[in-house]
Amino acid sequence: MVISKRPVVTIKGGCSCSMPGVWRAVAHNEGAVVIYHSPKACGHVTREMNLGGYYRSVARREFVPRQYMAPLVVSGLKEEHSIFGGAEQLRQCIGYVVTRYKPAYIVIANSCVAGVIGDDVQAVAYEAGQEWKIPVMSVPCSGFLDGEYYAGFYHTGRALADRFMFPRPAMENTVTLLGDRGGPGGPDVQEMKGLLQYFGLKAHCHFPGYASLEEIQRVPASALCVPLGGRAEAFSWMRRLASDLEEMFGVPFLDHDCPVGWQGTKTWLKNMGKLLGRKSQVLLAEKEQEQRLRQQVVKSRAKIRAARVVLCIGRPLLHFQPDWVFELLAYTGVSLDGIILLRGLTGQQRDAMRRELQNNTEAPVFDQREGAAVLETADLVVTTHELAEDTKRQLFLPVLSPVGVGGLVLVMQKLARLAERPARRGGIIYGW
Amino acid sequence: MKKVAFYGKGGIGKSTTAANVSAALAEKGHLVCQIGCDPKNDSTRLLLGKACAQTVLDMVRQNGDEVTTEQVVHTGFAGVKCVEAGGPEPGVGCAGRGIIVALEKLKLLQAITDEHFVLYDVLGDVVCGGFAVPIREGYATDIYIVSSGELMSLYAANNIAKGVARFSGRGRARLGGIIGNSRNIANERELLCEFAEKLNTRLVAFIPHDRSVQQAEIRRKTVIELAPHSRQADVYRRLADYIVENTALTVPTPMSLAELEELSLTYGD
Repeated sequence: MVISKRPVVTIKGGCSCSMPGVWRAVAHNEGAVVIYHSPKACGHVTREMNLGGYYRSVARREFVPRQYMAPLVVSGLKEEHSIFGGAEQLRQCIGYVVTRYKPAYIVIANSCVAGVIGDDVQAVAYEAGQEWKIPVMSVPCSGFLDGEYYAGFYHTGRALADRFMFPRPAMENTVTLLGDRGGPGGPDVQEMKGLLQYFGLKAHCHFPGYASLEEIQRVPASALCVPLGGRAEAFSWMRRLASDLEEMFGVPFLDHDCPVGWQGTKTWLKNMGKLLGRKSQVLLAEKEQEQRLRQQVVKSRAKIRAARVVLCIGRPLLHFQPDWVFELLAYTGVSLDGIILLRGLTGQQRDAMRRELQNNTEAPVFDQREGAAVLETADLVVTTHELAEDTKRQLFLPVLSPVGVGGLVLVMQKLARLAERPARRGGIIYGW
Repeated sequence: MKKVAFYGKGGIGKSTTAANVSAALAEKGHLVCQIGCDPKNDSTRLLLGKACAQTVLDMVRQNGDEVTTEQVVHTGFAGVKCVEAGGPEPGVGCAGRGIIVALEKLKLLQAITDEHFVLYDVLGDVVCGGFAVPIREGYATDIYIVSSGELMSLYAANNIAKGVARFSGRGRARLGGIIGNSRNIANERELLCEFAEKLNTRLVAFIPHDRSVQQAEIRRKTVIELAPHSRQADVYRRLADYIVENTALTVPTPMSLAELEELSLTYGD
């Protein structure tokens, strides 16, 4: 049997557009409007991303109908603007946005085209701000040229901080969550809030997204910032934002990424306890969370333990750190039949992943072609990419590592549910 | 049709040389077209007797796909067809992209079909892919580099030679030679001769520094038109004749900066 991976996912290590990051940073901020200074087609990536997010929310029954959605307007650069410059086009676009949406503020994301032709977007934004008497901010990234998704996200946060934040006296036991992770209604943030409660902390702001102007202005009053990254590249940008806020307003931050897996959660709790000097709460939190995990392990283990499981990896190490998956499988009593590195990985990415796997598991590692036989006999496939074989029962791993014990439990429950399905039925369960 | 391009450092005299060569060729009855590939629109000024008012990109911007040949091809001295690519104001947009679009539009219009000679006068150095288009995409086959003996001019010429060498594998563009445009520096002719030799080409003309060029320029005329019997006019005529006959086109062998500095030091010290 030959595995045919659906060509729906393209893997590009560290290569992404900064504009969706800009949009995402303020997508649910009351009164914000985002302008893409770009050709019209650039808007579609964000549209697709947003649509996917919407369906995921609906599937998880998290959909919040009243959630503000920032209008996204594209300046519509064309061939003539690539020659003569697009500044005038952008001015007109800002004028349209102000008249049509009456925004509280405008954030401008720059495309590759704007970057290549060197439009002075900063100057246009400043002049428009003067003319229309509203804050107009330009984010200093240019699509794929000098940025990536998280760079756009970070720089938007930084622009908002520069523009709207002023020093304020600290409010005790308040936390600002830095990052996205599906917003305040999402399971990751709920899980995080639960962990913060052990320390008597309350998340009073989410930044830069999901924040009204009032909430943004409240950030400097936070007693602490907690970055929500989820993977190395995201965390490095969120850490930078946290570091900026510390420098600007003296708000300290927990220098640790989201708690992922049980070991990761324990380390996170310890670090938080150390930072706050509240070690007794750490012990309580560990005890309760371990109990929570054990309860689920007992339920899931019986259903999964006997299954022959194969792990398929098609994401590079930059986007997918597999240690939490091994931890999860170990709790359920599963020993992997094999690990298949999917074709989408480049040679370099495959080598890096092989080295990482050697440190985590003794399971045999195969390339896609070699792994066909082991896949054939597998009962369950845990995978980063949807496989075309619909007769296989597949658990599609979440793109972001799940937060805390709650995240682990959720994936475990889904794996158990998958194991209960009749083998012939196959099908896929999405792990997010 | 012989397709010629003039490159060289900014302000070195490419447009003046190109316009005088065009005028000399037209004078002999050849059908000639000169295309200015520079957003300043000043390549054909001496042939038209004025700055070109309607550039290709102006018309594309104004009329989109409805541009006609008549709108962008103008007639100058001795019937020379004059085209200016045009481009953005200084400091905005991308002039290189403009050159690509303008040349593609001209090709689409089939505006230049019957000419014996097409001369491309290209802005300064080969600063980006757009300005390499005449070399890269086969618009021009015979490349001439205008240079004085000044180090920075030689430096630019050497860079242009790198561009020609880079694209020699994929097209027919070759180096026709170095056109020396004198700045009256010491041992200039000898320096340029050796420079050309090191680039695997030759000095095809040495244009002396002469007042008539300046006089013609301020009157918006070529030397050929203003002072047809002058020695300077004959220099341009000889250059035009050389370009007509020249078949010794080469793939250049650019020098390193150290070699270039050494050469300048040898002659200029």
